[in-house]
Amino acid sequence: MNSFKVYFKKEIMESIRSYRYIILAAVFIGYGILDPVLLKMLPAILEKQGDAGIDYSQLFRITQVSALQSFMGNLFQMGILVLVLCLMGVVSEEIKNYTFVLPSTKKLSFGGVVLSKSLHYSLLMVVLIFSALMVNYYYITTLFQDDFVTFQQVMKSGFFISCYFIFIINLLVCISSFFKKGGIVSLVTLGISLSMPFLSQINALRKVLPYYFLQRAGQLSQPLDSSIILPLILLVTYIVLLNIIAILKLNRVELS
Amino acid sequence: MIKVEGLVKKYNDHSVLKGINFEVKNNEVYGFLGHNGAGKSTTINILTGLIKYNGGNVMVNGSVGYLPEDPKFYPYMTAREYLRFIGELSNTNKASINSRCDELLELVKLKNAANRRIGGYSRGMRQRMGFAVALYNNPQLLLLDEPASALDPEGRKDMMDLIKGFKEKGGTVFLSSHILSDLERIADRIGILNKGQMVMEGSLDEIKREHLLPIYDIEFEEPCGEVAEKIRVLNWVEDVEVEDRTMSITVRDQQVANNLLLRALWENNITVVSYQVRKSSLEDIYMRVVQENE
Repeated sequence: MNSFKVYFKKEIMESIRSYRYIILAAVFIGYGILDPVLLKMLPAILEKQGDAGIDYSQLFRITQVSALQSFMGNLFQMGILVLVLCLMGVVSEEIKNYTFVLPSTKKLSFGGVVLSKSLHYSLLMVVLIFSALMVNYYYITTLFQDDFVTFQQVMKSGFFISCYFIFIINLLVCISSFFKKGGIVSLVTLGISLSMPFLSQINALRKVLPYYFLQRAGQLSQPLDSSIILPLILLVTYIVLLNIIAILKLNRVELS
Repeated sequence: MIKVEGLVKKYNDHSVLKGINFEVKNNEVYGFLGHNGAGKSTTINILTGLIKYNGGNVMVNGSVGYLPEDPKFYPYMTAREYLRFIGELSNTNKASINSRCDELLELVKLKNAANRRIGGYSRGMRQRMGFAVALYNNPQLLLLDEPASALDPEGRKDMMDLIKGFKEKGGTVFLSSHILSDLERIADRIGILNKGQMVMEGSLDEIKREHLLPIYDIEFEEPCGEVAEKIRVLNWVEDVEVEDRTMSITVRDQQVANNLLLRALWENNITVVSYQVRKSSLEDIYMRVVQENE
């Protein structure tokens, strides 16, 4: 518990001083603003570039729902890429740079280390996703008129997207404890996360994969019902397993 | 305090430690000698529990403080923040963390740089910072891996004084180094590791008594290469080193050398300018032992 508290504080200090908070906030919240603005400007941009006489605003009929879905789709691609690149060294850099050596001679528990990193960045993602969605919601409702989206629907989507990103964070921490090179960590994590949309085409796997949460996030009209219980139980199981694997691996690794 | 029996460490098929034995007694400074790649750091890493071993027994009693050869910190933290981090990790109560940080920063002479980020420290400063971390929990045993390798002469003297001070307070030190003069100054007992094997172990006095051979430094009027070859073959001569007009002769028996050396030189008809006897240092013993085991 002590290692957890100390490393949680250390992660906050590290994220502030290495500008991680600023980079991630700029990407997530910045995208929440830019995405609807660009969608709004798209017909005008195309009109200037394309053939005169075509009414592009009719060709691209953007509603509040489609604008929100566009943002969520982009968040999946862009958000994961930035997140993985930002956090690929979350554990591996510590092993590679031998920064665990001195703490490990002072009652360091790797259980605390892994949990603090997983929880810290999971909380960060939840805060960023909800902030980005709220900003995005403001711009969507200001810029687009049709197909109204309620604040409740946005919060529900935020919950689903957060579940997916929490899984990615825990996956990243686990994979990062296996490899010393951040490049390999990012490739493996991106490989797994990008293969999930394809695997989820298989019906039997649809609800088993955490990608299901992203699919549910896009289904704005579907209420929060009992169909989510099994995927949630599976998500918690995956997170627990990923953390246990990371702790076991770190306890076995030769630090020096 | 430390007892190691038949310690074996392998990396794949390569044996780094081939069954070494040694014992470190309470309140002594044990100097662990060996050239680069001999297995010193591997041994210390095993003693700290940072790496596993393949065979033998390792017993370490008491609380341990460890200083690696090149200690690594979080570069964005200041020295004070890092010591606080170590204090909190060690579950020290909040009230005593600040006073302990001040005390240690003062001790390792980093008080003026306490609020600078460690990323900007020189290697010597990082080594002193590492010593402060090693001392944080008032350990009974210090495991120090080349603690003075990055320090200037003044810093090295300070480090040796710190180690002496730790010993005077009842602590035990296991110190690996290849700076022999430092070990000669502070070590009570010495172990020499060569190619993963202990080739010599004992108290400094014992080693000197058993292995210390007298060396005759002789200066001649003219180059002495030819004479050196004739001296080298004498059965009471251990080694001969020549440098232009000077010759250093290590002898096996001083009594015999006193009787026969001058006569041997006279028979070779060479004029001696100066002649003096010196006792071999730990460095001479170390070099000889390592060469014998090559």
